[in-house]
Amino acid sequence: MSLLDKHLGYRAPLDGIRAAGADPSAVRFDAVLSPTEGMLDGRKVILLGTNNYLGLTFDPACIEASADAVRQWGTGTTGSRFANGTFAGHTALETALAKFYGRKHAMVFTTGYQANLGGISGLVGRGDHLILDADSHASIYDAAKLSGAEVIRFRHNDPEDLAKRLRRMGDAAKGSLIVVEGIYSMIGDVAPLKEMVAIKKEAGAYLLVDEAHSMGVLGEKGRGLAEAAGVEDDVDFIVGTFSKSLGAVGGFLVSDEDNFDLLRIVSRPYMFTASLPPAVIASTLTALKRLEEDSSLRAQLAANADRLYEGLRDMGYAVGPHASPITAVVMPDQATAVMMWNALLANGVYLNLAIPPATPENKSLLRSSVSAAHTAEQIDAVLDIFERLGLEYGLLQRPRRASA
Amino acid sequence: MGGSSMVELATDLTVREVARAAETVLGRSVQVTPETDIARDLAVDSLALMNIVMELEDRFDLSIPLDRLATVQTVGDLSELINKLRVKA
Repeated sequence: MSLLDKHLGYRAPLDGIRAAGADPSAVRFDAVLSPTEGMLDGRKVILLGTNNYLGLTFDPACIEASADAVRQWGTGTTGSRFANGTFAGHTALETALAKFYGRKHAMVFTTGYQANLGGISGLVGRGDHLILDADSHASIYDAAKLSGAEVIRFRHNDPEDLAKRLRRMGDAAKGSLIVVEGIYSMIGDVAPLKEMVAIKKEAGAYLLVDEAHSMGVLGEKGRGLAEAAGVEDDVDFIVGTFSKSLGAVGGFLVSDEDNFDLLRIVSRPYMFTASLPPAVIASTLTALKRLEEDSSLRAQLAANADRLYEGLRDMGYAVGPHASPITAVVMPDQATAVMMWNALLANGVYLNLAIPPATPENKSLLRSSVSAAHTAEQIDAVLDIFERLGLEYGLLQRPRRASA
Repeated sequence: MGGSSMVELATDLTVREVARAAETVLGRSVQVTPETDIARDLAVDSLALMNIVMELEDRFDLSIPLDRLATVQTVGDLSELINKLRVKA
């Protein structure tokens, strides 16, 4: 009898996936050549699931800033801000983020996961009410557990359902915290934020938007869904990450709330972990500047997203409700998803195999995310492979292009 | 009808609603008694359980906070929780 025996229910499914070919939980790159290409088993593959939306992981200025910082400040902070002190870079990044969002306050966390964990659990606790979209990211659910708040879920992206559940709560709805995401990470769909803001105001609730996948992607200035929907003034808290558009790792929380500084001494996921290393802070700060100054990256990302989404949709694949940098192709079942994922990899396309329970409605998905750094040729190559394999495996009915 | 049998009847009806909610979410028919273990006997994972709870919230027009599910193991536990919350509401 081992402590791990309780997980044995996962043994057969994992072995089954491994038996079908590569192990998605253990893909090992020999080298990463650029934001869009890596080497696997001596072969070049197109990276199509990295969330590297603006392609800044190899940005020369970001790399330079990072290298300078590591030489000047060392490899790590070796402890928390509370115990080991704040480095100049931490404050500079928090100031830059507050300015970018036009908010009074910002705090930086060591990962995006911890930004939700530490932000949400710092805002609500026992006796408070937390209202979550049913398809919320695991970090939001884990934050809910850590907080000890009373948790109510509403149906995904359904403002009427949200309103109904708030009504049911009676007086408790006032002062509750509603949490939604800008772009949902599995399907790439966007929250109906305008409608949700109206409901939140009527109920007297607070609203937190997790812009992890929408920062640098949506909005004229790249601030995310709240900006794109024109409701920034009615969003009380914004959480985001440095590990997607900004090409590094880390997360943040911004707000105009008074007494924001108290979060730094009550938020356990902020306090009891080492702060971000200077090299990460430096590249993030540089990437944020690039995001602010260069809107062409966003335009290129949108064009690439449209190209992939429309290409897959027009072939006859089942995709999400609208184009977004995240495009999920719905597979008929898990076995087909695993087979297609392996076939795509064998043909030089690496994307995400997303299977239950990590997916909405227990769907099996091939989840892709495009980058501004992808070339039109790369996306067309991906589309060709998708089409060929789709016909080969009977997922598509007919060739996409009629022969002229 | 005595007080205790009224309680039993209410529990019985709630158990039946739990079964119906589970069928809606799982898309298959289920046989339950108050002793049915939700995870083991119905093969319901935590996500499906949360969806069943959302369904039950609508059936009973009631809020069932997820943190209260920590102590729920059987269909009887879930029915009891619902009946408790209904009295409160």
